[in-house]
Amino acid sequence: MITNWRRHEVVMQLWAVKWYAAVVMLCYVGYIWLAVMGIKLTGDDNDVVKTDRAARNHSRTGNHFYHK
Amino acid sequence: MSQKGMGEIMATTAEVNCPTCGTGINVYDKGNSIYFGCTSCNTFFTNVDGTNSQLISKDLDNGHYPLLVPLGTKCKFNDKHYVLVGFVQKTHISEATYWKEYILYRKKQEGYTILTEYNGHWMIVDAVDKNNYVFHNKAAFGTSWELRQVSPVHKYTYYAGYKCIVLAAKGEFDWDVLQDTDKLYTEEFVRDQEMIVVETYDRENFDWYRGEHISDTAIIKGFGVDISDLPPKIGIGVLEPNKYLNIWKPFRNFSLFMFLLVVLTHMIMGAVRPPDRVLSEIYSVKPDTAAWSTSFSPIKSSSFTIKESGAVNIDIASDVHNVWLELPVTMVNEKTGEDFEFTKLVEYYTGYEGGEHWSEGSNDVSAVFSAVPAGTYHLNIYPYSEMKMEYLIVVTVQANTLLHSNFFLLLGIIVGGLALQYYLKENIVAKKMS
Repeated sequence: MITNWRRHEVVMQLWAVKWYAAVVMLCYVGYIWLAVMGIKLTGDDNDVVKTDRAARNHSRTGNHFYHK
Repeated sequence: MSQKGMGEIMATTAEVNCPTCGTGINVYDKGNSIYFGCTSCNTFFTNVDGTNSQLISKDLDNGHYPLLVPLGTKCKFNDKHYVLVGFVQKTHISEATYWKEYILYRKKQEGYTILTEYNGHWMIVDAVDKNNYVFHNKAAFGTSWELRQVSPVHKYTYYAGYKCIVLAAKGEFDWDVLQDTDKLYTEEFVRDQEMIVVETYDRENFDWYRGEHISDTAIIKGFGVDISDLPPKIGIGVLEPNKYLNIWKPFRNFSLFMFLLVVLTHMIMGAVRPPDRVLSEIYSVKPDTAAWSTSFSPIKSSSFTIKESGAVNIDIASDVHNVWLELPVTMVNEKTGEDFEFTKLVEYYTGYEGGEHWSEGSNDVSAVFSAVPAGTYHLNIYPYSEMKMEYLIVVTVQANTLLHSNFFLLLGIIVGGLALQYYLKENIVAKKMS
């Protein structure tokens, strides 16, 4: 019966911390999604997204190297 | 003061008169009540037979301490009907701590029920069987509790011990509230929202009480008063519900469950998509021999294929010693031209100074690129160092690399949440016990 599962200890405990549980579960789903996509949330080393490539290439010490 | 709902005055025919001012004091517990505090003056007196009142004290300060509701008010707490028959204002013998005690009478109940109010926090108190309690030697056994209830088993922590002075007493009592208060020592032991009160007279425990927190809502309903009539709350009451303590157990259990689930998930992900080493090569970094050049010859790696989109980890190790080597690296998709770049500095220094060997830096650097699409890539490396000499570098590229930082970030959120909850819970406990 509906009332039975509501009274179950685990359900009652989860309900008591529903907001915290919701946030952690959301983080957990996000973690799995990031892992599947291969996205590092902090400390990605790709400089392309951080600086202007033209300016950076110009600053290099004489190296001009075609990428392809 | 509003008087509605339960707040009606119970009629009674019995009455005794104050020996000082002649004011009639209603008697609801006729036969048991033999001590009385005048509601009009500062007199405390006894009247055994209903006719002859004998003065005990005229030193009370009854006028300064108003009651929440008048004596004789019908009230209801914990589904039991009472009549408010007495009121006592007490203070700590040596501290400026004041509390009120409302004496509630209920027909056929042995002893009174007492409603105490301290700094706006309420507790309802009844007598208990002292044989159900055992003192515990905290120091000898190294426990945090000092009193144990036998059935059901509960452990209580010592909270306070004090002597008190009665400042005001109004209404009727079956004991002399002013007698030998300097010999009466009260000890309080707490557990969550309940308190055991032990009154000791001449070193003998003779009265035991159990008090429990009662909410403002219950006071409002029970007395039939308005919320604005209640005294303002100051601080946190020792029996006040600790909402953080109440949810601590499910919070801890859920956190532990999620901690294990995340660890398990991380292990499964490592097993399902194991890291794939797609390049491992050794290069010689040589200074550019061109006469005008001040740098090193660039390096282009072999092509390598990344089969699945995901994170890529690049490790570079070098044999530098007491010198630095800057390594700008570009990973280029040979089909689309999309590139990923990083610059790392490999530097490693050692020395001998002041009789001790020291070292600084590392021969290894690593970098991670996120969400690298599948495809064929190569690396372009543009080394640079102020020392024009030859270096060796070992480059390793690993696809499907496990992102441990995300893993630890999530664990940090879980552990941080748990730690915060623990702090809030303990902070309330500390404030309550202070």
